[in-house]
Amino acid sequence: MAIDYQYSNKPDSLSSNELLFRIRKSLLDAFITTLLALAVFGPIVGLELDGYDFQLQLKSLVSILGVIFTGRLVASLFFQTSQGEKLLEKFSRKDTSIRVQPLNQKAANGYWIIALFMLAGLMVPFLASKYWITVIILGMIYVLLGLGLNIVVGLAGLLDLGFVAFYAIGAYGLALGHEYLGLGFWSMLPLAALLAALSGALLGFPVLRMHGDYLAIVTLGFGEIIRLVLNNWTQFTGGPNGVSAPAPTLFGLEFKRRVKEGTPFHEYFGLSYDSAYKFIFIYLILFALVWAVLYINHRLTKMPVGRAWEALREDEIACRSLGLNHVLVKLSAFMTGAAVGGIAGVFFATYQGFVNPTSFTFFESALILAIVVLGGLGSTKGVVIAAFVLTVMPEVLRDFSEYRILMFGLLMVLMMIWRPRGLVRMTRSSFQPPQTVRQAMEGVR
Amino acid sequence: MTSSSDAILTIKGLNMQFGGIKALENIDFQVPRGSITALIGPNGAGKTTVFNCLTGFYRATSGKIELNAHKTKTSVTSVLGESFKASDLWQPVRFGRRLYYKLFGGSHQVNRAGLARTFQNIRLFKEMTALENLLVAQHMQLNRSFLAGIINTRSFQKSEENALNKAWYWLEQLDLINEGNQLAGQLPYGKQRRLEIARALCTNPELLCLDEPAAGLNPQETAELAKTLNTLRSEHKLTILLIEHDMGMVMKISSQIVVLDHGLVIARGSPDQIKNDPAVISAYLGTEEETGVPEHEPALA
Amino acid sequence: MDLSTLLQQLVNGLALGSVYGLIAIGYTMVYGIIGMINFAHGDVYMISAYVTAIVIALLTFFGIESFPIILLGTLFFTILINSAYGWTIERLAYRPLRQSTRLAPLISAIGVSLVLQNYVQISQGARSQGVPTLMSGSFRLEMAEGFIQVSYTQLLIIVVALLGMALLTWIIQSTRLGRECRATQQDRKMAMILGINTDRVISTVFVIGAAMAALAGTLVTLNYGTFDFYIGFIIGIKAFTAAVLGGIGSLPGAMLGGILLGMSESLFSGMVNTDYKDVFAFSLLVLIMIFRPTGLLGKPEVEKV
Repeated sequence: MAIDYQYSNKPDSLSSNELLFRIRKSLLDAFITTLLALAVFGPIVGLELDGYDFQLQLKSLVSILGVIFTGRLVASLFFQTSQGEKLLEKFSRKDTSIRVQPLNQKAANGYWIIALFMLAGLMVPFLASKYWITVIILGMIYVLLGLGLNIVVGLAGLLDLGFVAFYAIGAYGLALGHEYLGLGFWSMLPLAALLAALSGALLGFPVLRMHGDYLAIVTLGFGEIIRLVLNNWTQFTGGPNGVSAPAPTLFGLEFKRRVKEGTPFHEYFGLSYDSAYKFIFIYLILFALVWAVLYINHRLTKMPVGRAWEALREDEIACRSLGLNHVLVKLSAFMTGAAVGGIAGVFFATYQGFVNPTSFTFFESALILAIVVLGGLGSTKGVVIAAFVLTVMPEVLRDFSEYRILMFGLLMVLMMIWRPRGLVRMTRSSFQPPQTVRQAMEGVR
Repeated sequence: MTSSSDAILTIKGLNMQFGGIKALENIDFQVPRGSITALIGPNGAGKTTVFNCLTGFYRATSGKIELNAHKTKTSVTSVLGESFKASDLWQPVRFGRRLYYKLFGGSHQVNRAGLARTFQNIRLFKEMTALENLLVAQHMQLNRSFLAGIINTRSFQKSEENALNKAWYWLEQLDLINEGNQLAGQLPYGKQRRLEIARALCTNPELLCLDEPAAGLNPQETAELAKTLNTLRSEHKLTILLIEHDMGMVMKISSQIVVLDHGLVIARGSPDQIKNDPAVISAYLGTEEETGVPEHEPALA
Repeated sequence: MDLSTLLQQLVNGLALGSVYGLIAIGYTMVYGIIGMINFAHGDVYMISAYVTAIVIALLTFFGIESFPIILLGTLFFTILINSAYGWTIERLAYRPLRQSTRLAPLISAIGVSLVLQNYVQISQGARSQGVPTLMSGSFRLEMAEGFIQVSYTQLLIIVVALLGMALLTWIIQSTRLGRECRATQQDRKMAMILGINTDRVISTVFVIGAAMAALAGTLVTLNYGTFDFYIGFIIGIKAFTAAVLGGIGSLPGAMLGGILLGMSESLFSGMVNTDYKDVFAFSLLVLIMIFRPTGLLGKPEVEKV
């Protein structure tokens, strides 16, 4: 390839014959591609089923084919020019995109940015409208879900396609715990995390001893099992109609207009009733919790268990040779992720006020996975940004909501081809050598 | 043969079968404590299979592998998890042990019993720094409490600090101090080999098993490796078992050599004995040749 | 439950299982050759259901009424178009990832699955679609108590599935292409060194998988009549279960697993509960993974250390 490039890549020395040949080749390329596209798109796009009959949709078919033809032609021509070849080479190069933080350069202004974000986040509920508060709450729920799955997929390298199951366990845990055991938000929050982690352990322990890829499909099945049980066990879960879930309370004060016993929140503080109070309160708890999870996440990467997760992602056999029980290490990642998912579920239930199985389909799992993938597998910052982009953007661009999933899918494929490690550069921390070693290092020099 | 009383590793009647193929047949040998034992043989003789069996990566078809390190005797075959037998019904203790190893056993238990190994094709955590590689190796010795780590308690900090010191120590021993904060995958080949040894040493082994440590090294690096191995044995009281194709190095440093061919042990003894063993010579050179031992067997692994 | 009901369920299960088996081939072959779970395979099957309906509509539009011609024409076009899908997907979404991380192709496959579902939803609408009943009637076997009924379409499914399997087995066992496939499955690098174009072989495997899914899609659509853009998901997991049950990587295993799964599922829905038949199938998947990950005919995996 490189030799070829050396000799054939002199635009001024290109004879007209050769140019003609290249154009003909590109045209042929484009033609063949279009033919294939016709086979692929022709029936599905071009002929829309209408009962047992069909309707011709020539316009959309022709425009798709046109785009493909010109796109392929232009690309084919461009990649034969010197710039094109350079670009192609740049893309095909292996880019590890990991760097080690230099020793003397520590994240100095990081704290300012964090403080700024914290302050801005705290102001939101008092400035924004109720609508935007709810949108941001949803965004934060997805941040939690993303962070939870990020531990499993990003750090430990285990593909969990049924993450929504733990989300559902958390959400239904709150709703059913309230319904049958009279437990409230605050007691269910830790219980749901525990419950999700336990079910993660029950599922994970046997499956995690096997070849990695099997986990993906087993979790996919598990997610579906949970949803189907929730949907079909009507006596217990309310079936497709769902169950109502309680709102959180502030030291026993409820956020309803009227309560059976005691005083509601607004009366206690002498305020007039506003339904936004409940969301402001949820916002504030969630906000604190997201920061807590972010902090824990940050600590985990510096702890033995976090290092073990990453090592396991890199090379399982080497880990075993070093005395790490790969099953238990994986299980700890799986359970931690599940617990975070369960907590997110509790917030989702309390935010919605009720839960039903339609919120826990495979699409939800795919969306969470998309957040982690686009955020850059393993990067906390990336996950937070991706979670907000993917959940808030559809609210802004409602016209494109139809194409949302198509876009997610395309982005997932493109990201894997272009940047399998995500958009954000990974930085590994470095360690100061002890005094004796430093002397030895200087001695060497 | 050495006396069995001071063997760190005893292998008796080891058989390994893959489907219909007998890879190892009735392997018997011991590794005396404090020795450097070399496992040699032509390509495909089953050396790596022996290694994988005794480090617990393969489950031997039959035979006994006993590791006597950290003052306890460990049967490698039983920590991998054996199948239950009817007699377990009235032997609850044995049943319990089997159940435990069935659930939590595996090759990691072999490492914890005091055996560390390296791999023929280097298996570093390539996207982690050299230091992080060594920290992962100390996982079992660290404060692994979730809570302590998140709150960053004093004892947790202390444990991390000790781990770092130990990591730097081994980096220094293997002449890698300038590479501590570099990505393992970006180190030159020779340094990767050394880093893998350092990582194995971080697990506090008594027996170090090296799978072709000199493969791909130049003569100077090989000489340094030989020196390092000798130091490890004399100063750190380690026992070393290695597979090696570089006969020069093997003859120079080993105190015992075991020769494998076609899954059988064909000779055992000191370098001098092996050099003049007709079976070994014929295994390496074919039956006609009588003169000398090849200095270098082409390492085509 | 009396004998005739039991036999009836088994016959239904056989037809259902043949379909699972046909789809499972796509999973098992792809897994065998590049060790990847092709999550988009179920959606390729879903595409074939749409193509079937479209081709039937087209053929009736042109006034063709004869059932054999419609059947053959539908099978031909569906297989052709589905093969184009199989090839394109491999070329665009998986081939660039051959040297990438272990997770990359799996995630890419999920992406493809989402794209296919949403793309069909956008272009064909979210409502469920159908085909007219082209073949009705059934055999009836009278028994001492009750009877067994085997509809012609069920019979067609079983016969065509067996024919398709036989053809594929012949291709894999006795042709040059099959030999190349098997060689690539054993050792891709070595096959490449021996001059086999492994990229082309892998493409072919995807095409074969898609073609078999097309066969299944056409047959099922003719039998059940209705479908929507979401059908690929559930049937995909079930076909994967069948592949694992039979031993992933093994062709006869896929068929055996399919038939066993189909029969046990239809027995379960007949004897226990229809609502939980999917739960039953997925639980079976989890249980096989735990107790016999190599499946019935699979070979144990030897870890390369």
